[in-house]
Amino acid sequence: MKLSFGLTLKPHEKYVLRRKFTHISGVTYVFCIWFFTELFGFSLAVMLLVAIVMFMMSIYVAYNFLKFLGIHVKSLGKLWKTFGSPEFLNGEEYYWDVCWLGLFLSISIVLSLLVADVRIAYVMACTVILGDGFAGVVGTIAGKHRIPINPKKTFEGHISGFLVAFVVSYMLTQSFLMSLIGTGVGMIVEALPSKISDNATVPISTTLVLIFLKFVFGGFL
Amino acid sequence: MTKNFLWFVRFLFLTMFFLLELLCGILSFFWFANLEFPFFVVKEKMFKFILTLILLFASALCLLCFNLLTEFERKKGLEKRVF
Repeated sequence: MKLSFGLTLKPHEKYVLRRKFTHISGVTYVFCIWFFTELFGFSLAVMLLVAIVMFMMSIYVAYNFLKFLGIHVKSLGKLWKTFGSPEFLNGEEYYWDVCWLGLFLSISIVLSLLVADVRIAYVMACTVILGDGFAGVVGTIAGKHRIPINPKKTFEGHISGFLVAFVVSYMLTQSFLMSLIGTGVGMIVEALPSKISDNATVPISTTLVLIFLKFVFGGFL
Repeated sequence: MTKNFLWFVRFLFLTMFFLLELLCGILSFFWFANLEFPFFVVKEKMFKFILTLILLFASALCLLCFNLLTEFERKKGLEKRVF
């Protein structure tokens, strides 16, 4: 796959772009939340989504499990590389990012089920999938001003990621405050330097903040 | 590949992570299909949600432990492999 668009990108930046486009393709998850909720109701939709994510993730875990035992399945290795999940990229490790994302998307959606609010699930999924994805794409292509506390991230990327996530989650939830606070918190957490993958910290922080606000403000959100 | 004590602990965590997330997937699929798991019958809906959450947290914890041990082993230089 050639990703040039008339831009001069370094090899690792091409990988980052591929990774982020794969990230954005996770928008199907947001669609599935809506579709399954319409079809089966929120509680059954959550159960189905958890099952699908766990089964898909288990293929990746099985591949890495075999690799741990010294058995290399080359075809699967090529597949991960195509979708932009190299083992090492720019000195960083990306082995378990997929698993962190799958686990914490599932944890967050079950938490939003416990308070019976599908809007929390929408905001959380939009923030981690669209916010993070667009922040990475715009940051790689047009990012110039680095965030002082985390020089790997850029202001341009974060602002565009926030805007996209906010607009889409507002369209889905019709709640201005919930979308604004949820995506805002998510993007702030994303900007913070952390040893744990942002695919884990962003969904859980967004969900917990929104659950807290729901209890404090109730119907106001 | 040297199989020292740490290797076995990491193997244990990775296996637990794999099994727990598979179990979580199977259980939630059973509950979605409104079936009962043959030797683990749960009637209460809320208990199903909480149990799913516990399984997910437990598998995340196993993955975290595995990652921390891997990092520890790499820092110590005990293991040259990527894992």
